[in-house]
Amino acid sequence: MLEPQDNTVSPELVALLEAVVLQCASDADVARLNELLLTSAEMRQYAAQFLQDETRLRSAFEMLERVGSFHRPASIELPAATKILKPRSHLRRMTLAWTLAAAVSIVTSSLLVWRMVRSENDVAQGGILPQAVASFGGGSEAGLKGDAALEPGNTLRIGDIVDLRSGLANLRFFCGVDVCLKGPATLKILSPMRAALERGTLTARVEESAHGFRIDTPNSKVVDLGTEFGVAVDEHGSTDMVVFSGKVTMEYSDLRPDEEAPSRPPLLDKGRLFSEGEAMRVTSVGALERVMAVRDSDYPRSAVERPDADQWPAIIDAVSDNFRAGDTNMCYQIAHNGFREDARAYVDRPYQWNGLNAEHGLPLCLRRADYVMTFCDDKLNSRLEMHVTLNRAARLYVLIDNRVDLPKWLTDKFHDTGYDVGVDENALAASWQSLGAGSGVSVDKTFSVWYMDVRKPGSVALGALRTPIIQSMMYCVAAMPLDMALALEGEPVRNHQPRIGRGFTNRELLPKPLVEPKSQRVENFADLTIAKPSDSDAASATHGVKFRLETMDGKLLPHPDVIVDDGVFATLNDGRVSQNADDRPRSVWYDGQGRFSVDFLRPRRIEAINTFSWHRFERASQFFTVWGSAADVKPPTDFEDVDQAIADGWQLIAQVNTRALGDGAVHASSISALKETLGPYRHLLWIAEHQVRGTFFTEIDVHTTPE
Amino acid sequence: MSDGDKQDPHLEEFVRMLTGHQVDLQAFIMSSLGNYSDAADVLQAANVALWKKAAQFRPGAAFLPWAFQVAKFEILAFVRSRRRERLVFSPELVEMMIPVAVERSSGFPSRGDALRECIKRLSERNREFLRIRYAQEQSIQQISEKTGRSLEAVKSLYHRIRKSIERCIDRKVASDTL
Repeated sequence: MLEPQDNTVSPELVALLEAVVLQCASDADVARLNELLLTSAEMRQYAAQFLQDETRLRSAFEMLERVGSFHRPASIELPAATKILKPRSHLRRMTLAWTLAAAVSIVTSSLLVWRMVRSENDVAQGGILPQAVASFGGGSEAGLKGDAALEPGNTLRIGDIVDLRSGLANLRFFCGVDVCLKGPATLKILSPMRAALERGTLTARVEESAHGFRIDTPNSKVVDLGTEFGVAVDEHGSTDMVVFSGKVTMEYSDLRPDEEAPSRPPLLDKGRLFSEGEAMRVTSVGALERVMAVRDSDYPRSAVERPDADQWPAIIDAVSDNFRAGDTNMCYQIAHNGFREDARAYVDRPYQWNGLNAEHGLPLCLRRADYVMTFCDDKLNSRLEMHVTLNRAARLYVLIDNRVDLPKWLTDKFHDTGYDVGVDENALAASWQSLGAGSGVSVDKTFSVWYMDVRKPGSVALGALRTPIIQSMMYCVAAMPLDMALALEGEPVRNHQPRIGRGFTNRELLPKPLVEPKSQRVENFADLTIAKPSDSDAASATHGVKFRLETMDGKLLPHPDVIVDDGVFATLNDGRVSQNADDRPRSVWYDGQGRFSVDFLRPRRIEAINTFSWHRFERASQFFTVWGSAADVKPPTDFEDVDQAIADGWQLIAQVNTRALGDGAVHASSISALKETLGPYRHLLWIAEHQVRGTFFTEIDVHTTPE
Repeated sequence: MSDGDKQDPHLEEFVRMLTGHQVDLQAFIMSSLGNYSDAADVLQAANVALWKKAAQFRPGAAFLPWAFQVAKFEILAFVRSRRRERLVFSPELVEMMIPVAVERSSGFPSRGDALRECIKRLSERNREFLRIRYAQEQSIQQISEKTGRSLEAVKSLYHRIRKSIERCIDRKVASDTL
C-alpha cells in the first residue's frame, strides 16, 4: 500500500517540508531536502502528500473566507482563476437574460426620472436588447424630465438611464441584486448583470445567483463576489468603494505618486480583491486613498425607512486611527441609532451584539445608541490609537471583552456600568457555532460596558488592547446624547450580568473563591503529578457516597449515552478512569450546562477535590464551579446568580477552567487549601458551565480529614 | 463586450470542470514544485493553456488526467525558464516528482474530503491560528509578533496542528477504505 505510515516518516523530512512551506528554509535546508527526495521514493511519496495536504488546507481556509477561487489576499493581484470565471459568469448572464428577461425593478422612489437612449442601432447589435430587461416595481411620484417618467410596474431595459435628482430609490435587478440608489445619481443599465454609475451613491445586495454583478464608474470597475457593497462617485469623478459583507474585486487605474497624472489613466487589467470591512477611494487622477469611516447614512441600504430611526440626530461625526492607506484598507462603519439585538459587531466579522437573556434584552443605556463597528482584527494591534469625534455632549461607551486585561486608558477615563452584553459568534470562530436571533440566544462571549461622560463636542482618544490573547475580541464604541443618558432610569446590574452555568461566568461576577485550583494536562493518567485518581477517597462508592444528578425544572440532563442509575452517576466515584480518549461507559458528559452533587451525610472537612477527564478533543477541558454547604438539608441547586446562591447557604469553593491548557488529553484539576482544610461541608455541588461540547468527566475524588 | 457571442454547450461543462478542479490542479502543481507562489504562477499559466485547448476537451471524458498532462508541460516550461535560480525542487527532482504527484492526485481522491472533516475537529484556537496563517497569509514572523509567541513556538504549534490533521486524515481515509 502506498499510504505512508506515520511512524516511518523521517522527522528530518517533516521539519524540512515545514520549513519550506513556512518560508523559513535556509539554502542548506533546501539542498538537504533535494538530496533526501532524490534518493528515496518513499520520501517523495510522503512529500507529495504533504504538499497536497498543505494546498488543500490553505484552500479550505481561504474557502472559509467565502471565496474559493482566489488564492491571494487583497494586496496581491488575482491569479488566473478569476479570468476563467469570466466565461462562466458570461454564460450565466446570457441564460439569465433569456429566462428572466427583466433586469431591474424599482420598488420605491422619490423624484426618479428615466430616459430611453435605445436606438435602432443598439437593438440591431445585441440579440437580447429587444427583450424587456427591467421593470419598475413601485414609487409614487415619479418625476418627469425628458423622455419618460417611471410608473410602478414599469420596465427598464438595457441602455436605459436612471436619473435620480434627490432622495432614495430601490431597484431590483431580476438576476438577484437589490440596489439602493441615493440621489443625485445617474445609473446606466448596461446588461442584466452590469450597470454604470456616473455619479451618486449606490448600495448593492447581491444574491448568490448574481455573483459577478458589476458596477462601472468613470475610473473603476467593481465586481461583486457576494454579497453587499457600496459605490459612490462624486462630482469630480472620484470613486469610493466599501465592502459591507463578502468580497469584491475592483479594477482601477494605478498611479504612482511620482507620475504625472494623465487626463484619464488607463484601468489596470487585473482586479484587486477586497474583503468585508475594507474600502478604497480612487481619486479622479487615479491616486489611492484610505476611506477611514463611513456612516450608514452615506450608504443607505433601503429607501424604506426604519420605523424607529432618528431617536436623535447622529452624534458620532467621525472615527479615525493612526494607520494610512497602504497599511490597511479597513474602514470603520458608524451606525446611527444602530445598536440593537443582532446588530453587526465588527466590520470584518459577521458576529452580532445581543443582550444576555431574553427577559431583559440589551441594557437600556445602549438601546438605539449610535455605535461604531470596529475591526475585530485590531485586537492584536498594539500600536492602535483611535479617535472618536462627537458633535455634542454625549455619554461614550466602550464595550470590552471580559477576557482581556483592562487597559490603562480605559480605567483612567472610563467607569464600569456593571452591565454586560453578549456577542453571538458564527462558524468563523468555531465550526459548531451559528448566529441566533434575539436576546440571550446563542450568545457566545460577554463584554463589559464602560462609560465616560463627554461634556463638550470634540474628539476622544482610545488606545490598544493590553496583552491580547488571540481568541479575544476588539472593543466597540457606542454613544448616546448626555442629557438622554442622564435621564435614563437605572436598571439592576444583575439584569445584565451573565448567569451562573450559562457558560460565560466571568470571574468578576463570582465572589472570591476560597481556593485557586491547580490543573494539569498529560497524555496518560500515569504522568499526573498534581493528583492521582483514587478508589478509597471519602466520595468513593465504597463509602456509599453517591453523585446525584441535579436538574432545573427537569432540564439539564446529561448526554443520553451517559449511564444514569436512579439519578446517580456511578462512574464518577468508582475509582476507575477512562481507558481511552472516548471511553463512554466510564464517562459522564453534558452537551450544555450540567449540575450534580454529593451528600456526605454529615459535615466533613475537605483536603482536596480532584477531578479527572479525558477526551481527544475539547471535551477534555474542565470548566466548572464547586460549591459547598454545611446545612443538613441540601439547599436548592437551581440558583443562577451569586446573591441567590449565598442566600441559599452555598459557598463558592473554586472555579476550575482548564481550557487554556489545550484540547485533547487527560485534564486534571485539584482544589486544595495550602495550609488549612476546607469546610466543613456536608453537601458539594458541581456546576459544569455551559459548553456546546461538555467535559468528559471520568472520576471525581474528595479527600477529607480522617476522623 | 456583447452578451451574445459564443454559446457552446460543451463550454459550460468545460468551465464547470475547470473551476471545480482548481484545488486539485493547484495541489498537483504544488507537490511537483514545492513552492506555493511558483505553483500559483504555474496554475495561472496552466489555466490559460487549458482554456485555449478547451475545444479538445470531450464532455464525459476524465478531466483531471488530461488537465494534469497540460499542466505538466507548464511546470516543465516554468522550470526551464527559471533555470536553477530560486527553485525549491531542482529540475531533476521536479521531473521525478511529477509522476508521484499524478499518482497521488488520482489515487487518493477522498483525502480532500477527509481534510475538510478534520478541519472541523480542530479547536477554536488552532483554527484561528490556521485562519491567520492561510486566509490572512501572515508569515510566521508576523504571527509571532502579533501573538507574542516566539518564532520557535509558532513553528512548533504549526507542526503540532499539521501532525494532528495528518493523523486525522490518515485515520479517516483508512476507515473509509476498510
